[in-house]
Amino acid sequence: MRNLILGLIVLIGLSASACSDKGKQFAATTDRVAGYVGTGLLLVDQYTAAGQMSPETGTAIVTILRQVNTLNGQLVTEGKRYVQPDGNLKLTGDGQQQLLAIVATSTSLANTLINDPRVLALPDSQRKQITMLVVNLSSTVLSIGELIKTIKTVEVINQ
Amino acid sequence: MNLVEILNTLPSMILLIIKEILEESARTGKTPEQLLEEAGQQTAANEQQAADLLARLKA
Repeated sequence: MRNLILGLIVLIGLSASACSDKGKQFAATTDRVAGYVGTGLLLVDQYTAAGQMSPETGTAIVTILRQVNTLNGQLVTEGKRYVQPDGNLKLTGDGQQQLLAIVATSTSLANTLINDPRVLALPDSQRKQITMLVVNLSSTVLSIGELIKTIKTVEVINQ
Repeated sequence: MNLVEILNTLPSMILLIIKEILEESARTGKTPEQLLEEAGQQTAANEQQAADLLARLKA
C-alpha cells in the first residue's frame, strides 16, 4: 500500500511538472547515471590499486558498469532524437517501448551486482558502498522509466 | 540491507531522485541539448576508463 501511494505521488509529481521540462529531466537524468557509473569505476580503481579488492571482483563490477554505461549511451543517443528544441520530449509508441526496454535491461543488469557472490563477499564497508551506489544508479535509471511512461506519444515526430 | 529491504525503499528513493533532478533542472541554465552532450561526453569517458581498468585488472 505504501509503495502504491509513493508510486502515485511519483506519477503525479512527474505529470504536474511542465511538459517542456521533460526533455531537460530526461537529459539531466542520463547525465546523473553517467556520473554514478564514473563514481563506481573510480571506487573499483582505487580499491583494486590499493589491493583491497581482488581483480576478479573488480572485473565483475566493471563489466556490469560498462554494460550499464553502454545502455546509458543508447539512451543519450535516442534522447537526441526525441528531445525537441523547446525542451519538450516527443516520443512515438515504438520509441517509448524501445526506451523502456533499455531502462529495464539496465536496471536488471545493475541489480545482478547486488546479489553477485563476489560483491556479497566484500568487507562490510566496501559492500555497503557498492550496494548503495548500485541502488542509487538503479533508482535513477528507473526514474527515467517513470518519466518516459508519462509522455503522451505521437504518431510522427516533426523536428 | 537485503534485496527485499532495498526493493521496498526504491519507490521513495525514486521520488527523492526525481525531486532532486527537478530542482537541478530548474537551477541549471543548460539546455537539454547541452545536458545530453555532457552525458554523452561522460559516457564516452566512462567507456575509456572501463576499458583501461579491465586491461589493468586482467594483466
